[in-house]
Amino acid sequence: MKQTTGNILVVAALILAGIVILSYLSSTDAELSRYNGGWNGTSAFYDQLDRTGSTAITSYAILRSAPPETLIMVEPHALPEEETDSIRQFVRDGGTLIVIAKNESANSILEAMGSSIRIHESILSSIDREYADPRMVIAYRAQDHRLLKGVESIALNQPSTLTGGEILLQTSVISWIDRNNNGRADGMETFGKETVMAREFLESGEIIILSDSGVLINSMDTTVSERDNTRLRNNLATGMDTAYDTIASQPFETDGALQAVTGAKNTTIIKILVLLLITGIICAAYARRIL
Amino acid sequence: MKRYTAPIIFIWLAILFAVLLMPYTAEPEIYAISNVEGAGIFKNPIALKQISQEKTADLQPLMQDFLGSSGTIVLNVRLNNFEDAQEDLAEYRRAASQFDRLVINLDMSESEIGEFRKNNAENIRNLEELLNDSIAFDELNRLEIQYQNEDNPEMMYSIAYEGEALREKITQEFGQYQKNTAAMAKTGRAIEVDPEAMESSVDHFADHIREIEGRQEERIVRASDTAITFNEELTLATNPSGGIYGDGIHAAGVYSRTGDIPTGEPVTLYIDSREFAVSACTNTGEYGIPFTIHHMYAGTHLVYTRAGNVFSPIIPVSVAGTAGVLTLNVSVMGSTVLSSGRLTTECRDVSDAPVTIYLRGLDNETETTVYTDSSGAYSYETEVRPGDYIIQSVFSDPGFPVNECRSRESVVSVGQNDLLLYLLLFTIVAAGAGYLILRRRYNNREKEGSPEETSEPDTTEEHPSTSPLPERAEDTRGDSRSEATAIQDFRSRYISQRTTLSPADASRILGEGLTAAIGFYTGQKCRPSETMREQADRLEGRCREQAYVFVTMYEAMVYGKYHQKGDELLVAWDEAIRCMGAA
Repeated sequence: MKQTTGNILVVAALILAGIVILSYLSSTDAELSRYNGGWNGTSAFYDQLDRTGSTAITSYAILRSAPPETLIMVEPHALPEEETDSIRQFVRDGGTLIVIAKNESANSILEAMGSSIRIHESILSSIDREYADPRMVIAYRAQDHRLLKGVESIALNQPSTLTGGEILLQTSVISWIDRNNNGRADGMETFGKETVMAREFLESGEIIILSDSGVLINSMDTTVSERDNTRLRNNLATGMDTAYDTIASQPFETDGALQAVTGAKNTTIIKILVLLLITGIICAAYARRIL
Repeated sequence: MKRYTAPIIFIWLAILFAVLLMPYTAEPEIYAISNVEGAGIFKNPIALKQISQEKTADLQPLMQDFLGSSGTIVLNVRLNNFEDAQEDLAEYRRAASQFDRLVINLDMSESEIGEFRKNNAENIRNLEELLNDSIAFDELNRLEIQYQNEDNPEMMYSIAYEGEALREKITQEFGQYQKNTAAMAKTGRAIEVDPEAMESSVDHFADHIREIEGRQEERIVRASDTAITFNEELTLATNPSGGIYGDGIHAAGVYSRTGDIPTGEPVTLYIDSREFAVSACTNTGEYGIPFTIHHMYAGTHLVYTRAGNVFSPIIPVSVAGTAGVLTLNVSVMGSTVLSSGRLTTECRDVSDAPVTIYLRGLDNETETTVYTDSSGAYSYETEVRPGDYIIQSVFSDPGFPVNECRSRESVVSVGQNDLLLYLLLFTIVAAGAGYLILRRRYNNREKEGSPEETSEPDTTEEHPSTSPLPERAEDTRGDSRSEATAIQDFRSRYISQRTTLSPADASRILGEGLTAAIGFYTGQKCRPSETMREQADRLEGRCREQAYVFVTMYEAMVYGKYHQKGDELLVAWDEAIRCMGAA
């Protein structure tokens, strides 16, 4: 009897240790990572997308075969022409492409789409700020849009600026580009409104750019209680037939153990094998009267 | 009970440490999400203070007010509604003060809004001058009518001259106003504030000047009708012709009226149509009036002198603005913050200048204006609540030819006034420690003088070669007494029970007593397996011999059939015990 109890404890401890190791290998502290549950990860946003039935795009071919209505890309890197063709065709055919990026590297996608909107990596600062940091800027709605339903203002986290397109969100008039990065408006730095969200119609489709991926990090969700950040994220997640990119978007960039674990989690045959292995272990334990 | 003493102490210590550590759990030293302000590109809003600061709503209305107020003031001045203009100007100053505070607190002094603030301050000074000069010009109209009625041509001449000086001054102010307005309108447009009202005030100002010029021309014509010409009987020259703050300027000239010139004829110096200083000319008509550039705005000032009804020409004196240097030293004494510093320009102390001290706390902010003394020094002290404060002093007065300047920001932390609490705790601890020390000393003295201890010399006398029990540590004296008593209990038990018990069993009582005495004397616990003789072997010298005497007799009585003679076993026991000092 005593031996059986001991065995159960050992197995329970092993299972617990396995869960801990798997959790550890499945997580990362990389900024914006979908697998980062910390303050600077985007796990909450993508979990929300999954909960609301959004589709993860693992091949751009699906944009031609079964195109969603909306595709979200976050900090996308450059893609081969063949793949950008698929995305461009998706937009021209009436799809909505939402690019949330502060890095100018995302301009390659915008260029490939034929958009005139450009991201400028500038140190956008404002007197009107949500937190005690001049780069935690408040942006205000400039015109109505389905993504901005119920959104009057949002707090940004180190945003860039945009040129071109129609303005959807912009900063207040006492904002400036802090060229000398000293946190104050001085020298030749002048005040003025800056665009942080813009849109452009491309044939039947629409492209929308938000120049701050910081709004998606976990700590920018419910923490920003005074602004409509949560509402904006809800609008992004609950749009009709939404899909999110996992190929070129920075949140899905993985390496090392994380890559292996996420690869396994995303491969059906490996999933089946792991389930069989676990079932086998349990059966063996039962047969040997460990359990 | 003794076995639980140590665990209880440890449990209590653990609880104590847990209680002591509890306050630190809110701010762990190792890691907490709220301690990480940022990593990589993004900032962590959990670690930053949420301020939800939206100042556009405060700034824009204030700026719009300024741009609107200027137009109203100029219009009222033009329509001679001086009282209304004064009220508007007072309101303008109040709003400007609020705006200044906002700009300083938002750290925008170096921005274009900071520039707007400077131009606004210049604008207020312009409007003040315009108002005062227009009132003075209007007063001249009244006096002119009076002197005309009195048929006083000399005073008509004086009034015409005063009027000319005012006209020139107002024209100069217009130039400055025009320049400031253009700069303010430009910033206004950038901040989405409509500058139209201010721009149209420039037209009103221009119309006002045209009206003044027209009235002045008419006045000069009327004064000329009196056949008094504007001949220059009184000359004036300044040396140098301009300067910066602290420079001395010498105004000098000659009063050349024909005939005798009485010595001491007063000559008055006017700067910007205001009486500045009075001197007297010599009998040759020469005069000299020195003055120092002090509270004079940067720009051109108009200077003339007057002797009786004779006026000198109006000449310009240019005052250049210089950079100011403002220092700030802050110290904290309890809950009092002491701020002091000095305002200088070009290494010259700036006296009687207003210095505003801004004190920004977490939840409140205050500003106080103090004035520098003759050495340019200022000081200010105030009581504040505990917390962190940012202190900065600012000099900004366009009335001085010293540019706006700010001190560095000084951050101070004012702690809780815990002095009384600390003193109380220290007193309690010190009193407790003192009590314990005194009590111990008293106990020691008591032990040294107690009768139990005085028995030692007897023992030593009787057994000079043995070491008495009290040779062990002094603090074991209490234990020594109790052990001696316990050993003597064996003797008492033996005496009381030897008639009822068998000789062997009665002997065992003394045997147990000897075992206890040996254990105590040697500090080694006797094992139950040891024989009485083995226990006696632990002793040395005479004590061992005495113990052997007892043990030999004891073994004979317990294990043999030996019958003691008299109390020889007890005597042997006593000898052995006395030798060990336990008697």
